[in-house]
Amino acid sequence: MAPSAQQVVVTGLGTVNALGSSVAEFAVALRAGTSAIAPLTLFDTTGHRSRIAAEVRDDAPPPGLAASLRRRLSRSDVFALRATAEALAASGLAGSTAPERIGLALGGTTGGMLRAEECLRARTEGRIRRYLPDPILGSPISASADVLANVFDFTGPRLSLSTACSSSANALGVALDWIRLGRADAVVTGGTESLCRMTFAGFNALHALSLEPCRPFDRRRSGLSLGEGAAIFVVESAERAARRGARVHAELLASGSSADAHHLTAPHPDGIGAVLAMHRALASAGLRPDEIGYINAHGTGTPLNDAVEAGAIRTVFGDATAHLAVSSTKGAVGHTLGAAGAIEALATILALRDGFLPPTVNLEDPDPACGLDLVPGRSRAASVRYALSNSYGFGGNNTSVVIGRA
Amino acid sequence: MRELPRVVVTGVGMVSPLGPLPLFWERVCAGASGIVPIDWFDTGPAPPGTAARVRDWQPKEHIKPAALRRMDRFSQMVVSACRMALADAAFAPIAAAAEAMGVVVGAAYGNLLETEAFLNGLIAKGPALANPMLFPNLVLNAPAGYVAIELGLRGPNFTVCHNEISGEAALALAYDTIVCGRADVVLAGGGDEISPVLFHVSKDLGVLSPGRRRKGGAAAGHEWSSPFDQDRNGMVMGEGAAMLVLERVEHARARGAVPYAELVGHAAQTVPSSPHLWPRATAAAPRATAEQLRALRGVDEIDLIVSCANSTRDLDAFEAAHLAALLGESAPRALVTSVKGAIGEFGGAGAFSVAVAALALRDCAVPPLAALRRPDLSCTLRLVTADTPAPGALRATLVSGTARGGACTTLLLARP
Repeated sequence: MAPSAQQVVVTGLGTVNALGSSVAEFAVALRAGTSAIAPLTLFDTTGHRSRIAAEVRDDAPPPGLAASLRRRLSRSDVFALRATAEALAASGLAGSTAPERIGLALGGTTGGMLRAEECLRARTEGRIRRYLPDPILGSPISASADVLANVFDFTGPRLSLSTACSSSANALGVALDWIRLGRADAVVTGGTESLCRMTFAGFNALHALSLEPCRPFDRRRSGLSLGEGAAIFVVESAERAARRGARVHAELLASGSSADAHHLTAPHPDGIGAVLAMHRALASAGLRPDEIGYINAHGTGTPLNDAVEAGAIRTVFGDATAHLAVSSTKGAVGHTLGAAGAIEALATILALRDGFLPPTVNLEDPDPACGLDLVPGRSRAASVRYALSNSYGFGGNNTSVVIGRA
Repeated sequence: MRELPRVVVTGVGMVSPLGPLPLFWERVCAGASGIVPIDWFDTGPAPPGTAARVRDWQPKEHIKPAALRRMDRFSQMVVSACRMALADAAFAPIAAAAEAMGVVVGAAYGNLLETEAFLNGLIAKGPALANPMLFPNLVLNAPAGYVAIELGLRGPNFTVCHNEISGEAALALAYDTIVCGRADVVLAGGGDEISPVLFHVSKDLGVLSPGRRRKGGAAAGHEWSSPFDQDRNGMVMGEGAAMLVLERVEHARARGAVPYAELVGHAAQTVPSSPHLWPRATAAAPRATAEQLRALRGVDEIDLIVSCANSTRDLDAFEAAHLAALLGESAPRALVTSVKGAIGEFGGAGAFSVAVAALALRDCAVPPLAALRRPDLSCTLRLVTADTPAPGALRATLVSGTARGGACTTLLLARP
């Protein structure tokens, strides 16, 4: 039982990812079915099993920052700053909201790890004698929230959440709860993530990375492709948005979370947690399964995830599965880990707002065992009222977010 | 808005530099310290060279061998603390209850020891020999994941990262998780572990205390720096994990649980601060926090404040100004203490502040600032010393946490 069933809407959007440096660029590439997965150039990949990823090429910090601040920024901070600047600019939030009434709820997994790795390597190789404070103290995921609060003067409640690959989906849930509890008038929420050696080597060591660009739900799928970026939203009550005449991009209805309580990296074979999360999200939104028209799947492209997720969707949707479109945008933008929930929520919002179904890029031979309409190859025009965005992560975390057309 | 569900604390479990409960509570009330010389890694030739390391903890008493082998040390701390918290709450969740039971863990760095080992392996041996067994334990939410797996908990499972206030932030999120109807019961708290990397960075930044030379020549030895002391000269790095059982009050009543305290609510705001450092006293402007607290039951009955003061010059001066301004006329009445002098400073240390607030309300006992000798003259708060008589009654307790980067969180607990 929610404290109040207040309607909550999204009034600002911003992103930086391998498909585009703005929401407009991302929307065009998403619709065109472009894949940004290519050989990784950010660091030396010699000796790695898989050597591709969806990398952000345009990684300059936003203009106008003091040099002392610019030097301190991690790659994740840069993505977060740029996405937030875009979301704020279009939302008209500045000037209409007291800074202490603006909350900040971000998700992420590796924060400033890329720079911490460079510092560690420099010390191990004897190029520096001491660990430097910025790379180490700037490595936790909370550092990006600190930077945003500092630059944009948000002085309300602040939270950095890490639930692996569902981190930023859960951040959206926190933002929703904060608005409904009255903890803030508006919440800047989403996630940011940068590629780093730790995750690249780790997923490679687990043989979880595909040698070719990932192909979610394909019969020949063989693993995931990593990506990076940020997506940031401005979220507030519908009443407030209407009062200040803000453009509403979508409605944020509910989120549902669960734990598999099964294994740290493998999903429960029956998708028990994924089913629970979808049930909780739908119940909280007050919707029946047949009212959902589209699911942006977690769809990583690993053999196990896609099979289990497809099974969980069929369990929840039953006969309504036949009228449901399901796609994964990870073949296009990669698996952005802590930012995935936010980037995929953005893809879902654009799909509802602009009337199309994003395709499952690289899907050529749909796995018949999945039993779903997977929107292969090309986007389709469609008018959808309500959609789900699924995010699952290490630790057995599952989160589903319900998004509605404005 | 409809009236929110009420949330109570029904269990506390911990792994700490002062041991588990009830040892921790006896020791902290007696003014004991968990600070020891570091002999398990090289701290360099000059002080500081001390830390508050967990003791009196046998992970195998709480975790089966097969699970223990997979888990990193910090996850072992968190899972052990959860098992102890559930036992303390006399709560053995059956399947149906476990489905609506969540976990919220707060940590700033988590498993930094194995992260360093994994990366050093990568640097030394190349990616082909990267350890696939180590990698899953490096995500910050591994401990919360292990708790769900070990205890079979299928409710929401969150991990919060927020420097020194990760523990307070986790308990605040757990409260919201319950009042928003996402779970009936949440195991919530936090912690972190000591790592050489963080020790050396903190040492270089000059925030660690070298200890205070006791007067009387070389034989007199050291004594520890205390929060709110005039002569304080830095924090000591600590570690541990404290987890609390939070329940909807009806849920607790239905199973006949005796709560320690009610978690009445919380408030948060951000003040200006340099990165990596605590805010200056001049930044204290707790108007937003005061406004949020005013709506909560018991805000006029605060008899004790458990502060995050950690014996650094900046944070303690900020806390003194912040708390005095926050409570205005009621500040002279409330006693103020901090456990950071006894267990050190670390990511989830605030979970221990909340545990102490709950224990204090249950027992009407107030732990002293153990090493306090000369209270800071600029601090107008009523500090708890070894000589402070036990209060006749404690009605409500405020936990105050401030992190590097300027985020402030307060939680209000009251007699149930």
